[in-house]
Amino acid sequence: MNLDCTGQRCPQPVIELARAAKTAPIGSLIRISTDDPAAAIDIPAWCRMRRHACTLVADCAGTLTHEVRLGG
Amino acid sequence: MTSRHLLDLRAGTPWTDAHLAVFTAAARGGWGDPRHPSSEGRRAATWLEAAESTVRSLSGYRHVAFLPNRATALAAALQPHGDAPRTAAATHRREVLAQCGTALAVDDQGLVTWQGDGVAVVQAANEETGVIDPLPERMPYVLDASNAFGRTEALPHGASVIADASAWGAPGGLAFLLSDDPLPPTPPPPIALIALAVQALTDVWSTRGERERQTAAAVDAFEASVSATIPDVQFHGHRRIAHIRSFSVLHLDAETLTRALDAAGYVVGSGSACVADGTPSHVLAAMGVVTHGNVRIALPVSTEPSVLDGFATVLADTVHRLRVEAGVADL
Repeated sequence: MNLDCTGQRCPQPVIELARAAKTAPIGSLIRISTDDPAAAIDIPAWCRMRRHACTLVADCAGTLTHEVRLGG
Repeated sequence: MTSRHLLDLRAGTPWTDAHLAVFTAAARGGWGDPRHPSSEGRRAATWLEAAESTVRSLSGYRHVAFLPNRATALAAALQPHGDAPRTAAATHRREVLAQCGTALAVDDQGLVTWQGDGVAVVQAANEETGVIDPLPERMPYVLDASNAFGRTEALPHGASVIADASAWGAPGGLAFLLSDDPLPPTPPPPIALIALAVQALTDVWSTRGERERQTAAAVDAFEASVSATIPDVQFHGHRRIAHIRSFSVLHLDAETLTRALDAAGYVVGSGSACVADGTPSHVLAAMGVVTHGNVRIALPVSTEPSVLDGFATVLADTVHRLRVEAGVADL
């Protein structure tokens, strides 16, 4: 699943990720793109709290893409 | 108007009648320049010497200098260290990091591991989270106690210490530099401000340990209540001073939350980007914790810690209402 959250300000990208994670099954992969400076910190921090694995896969001109593998 | 509960001393300090009385008396008696060789100057110098003597006797340090702010106090404290490299935790205030060559990483509890040479600028309590830096074992250090002095009995003696009058209930605009080594002479700020800050310090000094314990118990009870009643709240940092606490409420924006709390009578701070200057708190960022929905309390000396009981209830109601309104209650 891909989420394009560019242009969104804190905490909207995390909310979109949380909504997507709520309905997707364990083990699924969500790619989320953001360009808000707070999202760069909050997406990995939120994933740690929810025990999802989070990897930064792209950093292109201030737009970050994280891959989130949903944990149990 | 609802009654106001000041939970963030960085919002400012109200001037009490007692404050005004001390300020007025010192302004009338000590308006002269204490460096001037006139009767007026000597009278002002007498006020200044009395203030210095009181601070020396309370703190146990042999020398004290009064300075207009923490930045100038830090510059004066670092002066004896010459060109030695300066190191601070990445969570220290931006103005401090601007004076330091190295900002060391912290862990997710905000704790720094000291390394390198030179002089360390140690936080007796971080301004946002209250986290206490460990003391470096192999580096000389300057202790920035601007958020701790007057609020705790547990300050190490032995280094230059920076204190800030706003921490103990005096109006801001005055810093102290304490040392056992002689300090270079500095032009003093207005004597009325100094007299007021020293009186306020005297008022709280003997009871600071008892207040600290009461505050710690109230803040712990608040945290337990919040954790039990509000889902998805993250508290930041374990080893910290009693009166400062920072936490993030997931999925809410801090501006909406702090405004709603203000409307309910509770004055709090925040390190979230939407409340600050558009960038998230560098303190929370360095710790790698959630920066949105952030609320910071830094209890003024004048605020009874028991006010947190009512705040916990209002916070729970407010967060629930705002989450329902934003459609994020079930995330």
